[in-house]
Amino acid sequence: MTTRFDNALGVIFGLAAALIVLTLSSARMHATVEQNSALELAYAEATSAASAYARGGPSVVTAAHETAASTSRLRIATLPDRQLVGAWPGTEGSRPLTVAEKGLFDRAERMAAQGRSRLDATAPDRSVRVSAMLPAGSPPGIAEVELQTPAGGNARLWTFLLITSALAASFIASRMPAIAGTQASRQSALFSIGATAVGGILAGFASLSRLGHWQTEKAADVETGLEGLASAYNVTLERTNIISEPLAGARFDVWLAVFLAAAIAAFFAFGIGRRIWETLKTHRTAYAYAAPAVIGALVLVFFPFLYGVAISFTDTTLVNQTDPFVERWTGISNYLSILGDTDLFRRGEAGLSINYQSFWWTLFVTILWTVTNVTLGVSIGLGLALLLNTPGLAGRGIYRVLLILPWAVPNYITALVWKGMFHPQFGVINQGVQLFGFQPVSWFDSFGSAFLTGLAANVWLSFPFMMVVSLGALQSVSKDMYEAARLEGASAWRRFVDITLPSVQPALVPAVILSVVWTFNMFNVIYLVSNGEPAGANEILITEAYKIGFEQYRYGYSAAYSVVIFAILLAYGVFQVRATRATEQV
Amino acid sequence: MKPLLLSLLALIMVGCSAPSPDEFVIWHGYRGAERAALEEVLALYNEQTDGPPVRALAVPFDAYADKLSAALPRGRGPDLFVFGHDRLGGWVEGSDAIDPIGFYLSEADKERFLPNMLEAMTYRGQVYGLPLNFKSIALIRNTALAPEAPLDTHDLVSMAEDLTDPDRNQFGLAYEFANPDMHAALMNGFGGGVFDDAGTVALNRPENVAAFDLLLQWQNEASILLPEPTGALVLSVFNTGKTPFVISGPWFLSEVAPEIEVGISPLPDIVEAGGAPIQPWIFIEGIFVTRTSRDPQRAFEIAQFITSETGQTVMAEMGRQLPAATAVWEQSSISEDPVAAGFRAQMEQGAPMPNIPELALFWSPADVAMDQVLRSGRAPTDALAEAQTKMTAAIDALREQDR
Repeated sequence: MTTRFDNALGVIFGLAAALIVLTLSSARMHATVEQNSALELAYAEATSAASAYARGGPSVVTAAHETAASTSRLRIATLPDRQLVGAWPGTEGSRPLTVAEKGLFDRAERMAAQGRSRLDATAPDRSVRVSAMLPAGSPPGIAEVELQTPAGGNARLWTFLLITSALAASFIASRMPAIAGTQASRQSALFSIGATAVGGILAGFASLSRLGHWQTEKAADVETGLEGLASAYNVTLERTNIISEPLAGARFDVWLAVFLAAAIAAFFAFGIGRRIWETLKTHRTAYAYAAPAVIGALVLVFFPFLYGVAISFTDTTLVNQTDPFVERWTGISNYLSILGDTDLFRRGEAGLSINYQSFWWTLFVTILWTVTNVTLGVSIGLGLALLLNTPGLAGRGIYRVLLILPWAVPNYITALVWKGMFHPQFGVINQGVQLFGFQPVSWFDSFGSAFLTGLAANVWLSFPFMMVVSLGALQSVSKDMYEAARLEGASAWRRFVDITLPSVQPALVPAVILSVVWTFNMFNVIYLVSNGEPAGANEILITEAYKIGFEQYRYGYSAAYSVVIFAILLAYGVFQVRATRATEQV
Repeated sequence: MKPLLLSLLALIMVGCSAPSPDEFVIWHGYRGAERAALEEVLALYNEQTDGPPVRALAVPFDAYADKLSAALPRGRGPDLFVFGHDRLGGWVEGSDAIDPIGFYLSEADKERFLPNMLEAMTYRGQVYGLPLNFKSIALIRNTALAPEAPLDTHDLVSMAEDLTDPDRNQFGLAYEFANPDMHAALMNGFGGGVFDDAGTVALNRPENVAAFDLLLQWQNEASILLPEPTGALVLSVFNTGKTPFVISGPWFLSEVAPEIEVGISPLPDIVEAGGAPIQPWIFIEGIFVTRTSRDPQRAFEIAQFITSETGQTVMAEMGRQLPAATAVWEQSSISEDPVAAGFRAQMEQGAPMPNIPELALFWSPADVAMDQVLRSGRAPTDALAEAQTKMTAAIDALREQDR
């Protein structure tokens, strides 16, 4: 009984979704047909305008401006003295342009100026495409036809209706225990997903692409016609701004609707919605207390993170950041270009050189940087802890405070102090070097020495933490064990390897794990001390991502870089957790 | 539970309150006297006209550019805003959010500003704003130490050498010479610069190498330069009378100790460049009308009023600005002010900072090149060639569109 009921519900869901997608695509088709007739109209307008222009004489700018698919107007205006020479439809005589016609003037002025968008050299300008340059000295006559796809108003309305109706229906369904979360409802969900997808593909995609092809051809016809006109009447033609793939937006809308319908159907039919509601109701006090933190985490952590991931699939830059998301979408090309940059060596004028901008070189430097830092930090920290742990050491408190100090100073201050100390002329290190009769070293001029500067600064910053951790662990090691080992005749080295190291290991392993992550992303030290010098050879991944994003303004590429860093650290984290579990089981 | 939810909802609603439709809003980054002056001008305007009043909104300067960049493309910005011309190209290319005003401009409007002013407001042949004031660096001297301004670089070096004594922390010339912004003055002076006339990056030109050579000569051979200068250090040596010459802008003067008498003069001519003057970048502040303004024509009239003789006189007298309108300079209170006259003389031989968006990609490679040449002793030719490669690559990467 219930199974049959659920199946019926699934059919209803599926049919409803398919119907909505059908309606959506038919609305699109209608818009497309309308656009095609508008194109023909625009063509006719341009013809009459151009011939009128040819009769009236030179020195005018012609612009046909299309605001919506169904209406079209055409006006002719002069550039320097702001006169409207003619308009179509309508037979007005010459008169000054009104403020409402300012757009016409701006457009003409922009066309008359040389050049295209400076940074956006290949992409079509959003409002006009300036490809036809005016030959020097010729009258600036420009004909322009612009058509725009209506901004998907209908599609958005339909998507909204789809979501709300599905939500309402599913909410009612989820209140009925018999139909939520059962085997049968799962079947009905699968059915509705299937029906939605099939409906979307059949009704939307197939017909839209055929129509799209038709319109592309039509647009090409009009363009050719206008070009012919331009040469016939000696008009310099601003290339028509006809969207050659008018249905890309529609396709996106349809897919969005399909995906949303499927997701919503699954959300409720699988009983997820009902279970979430139940949990919320049972533990409402707990959730109320947690709500501010959850909202905070959603807004401050998850949203920026997901936004970053989304941006990483686009070619967002300073120039096109306000374009619609769909237009910026480039799929995984950022990742391909980052990971595919395997040309580690370049053959230049000065022979073979390393390509320091390659991701793989930067990754190598980052790993080298992390390994050397952590190794040195742990060794020095442990060594000092052993010294401080000497029984009966006088002034231990003073030493401890002094050794912890580097940790207490904010790390950017320490980093700047080290940068100053490595200054080739005034730095204390080169002063010292000269004191002993050596030549001063240009620390930031070669990869090795520049790497050392960062290493010195960061080890200075990181050893106190390791020392504190080891010291705590050392103090809890029982003295009896050393006593017993000494009686058995074990050497100092044996005592260190077999008693000290195993005793401090449980404390040291988590510290090393943390330290690896910190060092891997140690932005401050690299950025402030060597700043990636020479020629970017010393850049680590995180500083490179920063520079791509905020000094070269390639946000999409930088986001992809950050996602790659995240993936590396995630892989490392999973591996570490496994490894630690293994050590704990011993 | 309900009160909590309701209060959360209320909080969200408060955050989204819409701007009032009955007024025009102008954003600016001014504080203190400049802010008071602008508000005074707007009060004058509101008195004279009917219709919706204009209100000024001060945005903290650090966040100003970012706030505009975020608000303009989304139509949540003001009707007008005051900003320097250096970002104009970026805004036009990036968000298309500023309305060109060429349509409203009469021939008289085009002639009522000092030279260079309207040019700075022009991007790719279209005028986007009305100039309000300019800022430029110039040679600021302590008249007790240097009664006369040097006419050329040889004068400057010989005067500075006499007053340099590193043992007593005295330096003949103190300025932030490692700052690409400052160094551009020398590059322009030699006829070089960041871009060539077509707007293409041309850092590795012999003129730019010559500019570096001169700076290196000042630093290493003449040794007149205050080493490792920061803004605070430059101010401190000037205020303690340890340097006769500083290169800085009008903002420097407000912090000069009251007992020191200053003289402002244009930067000297470069003997090494055949007597061409040092050409600093001039920074011009303008008023821009946004595309989303509720009434762009009215917004333009407001901008006209602020940049009119009346408006700019208030901005100059009360806000201590250097006005862009020629008429204001005919008033004795402005033209006879030695400080204003000094900066104006400098402005006339300066060059507006480029307003094309590629300039944003100059700073990082330039900082590195300055550092390499001045601190690590790298040859200027090599450092500039590297900067040229980096900057060109960064521009190409921005231009590259995978479609």
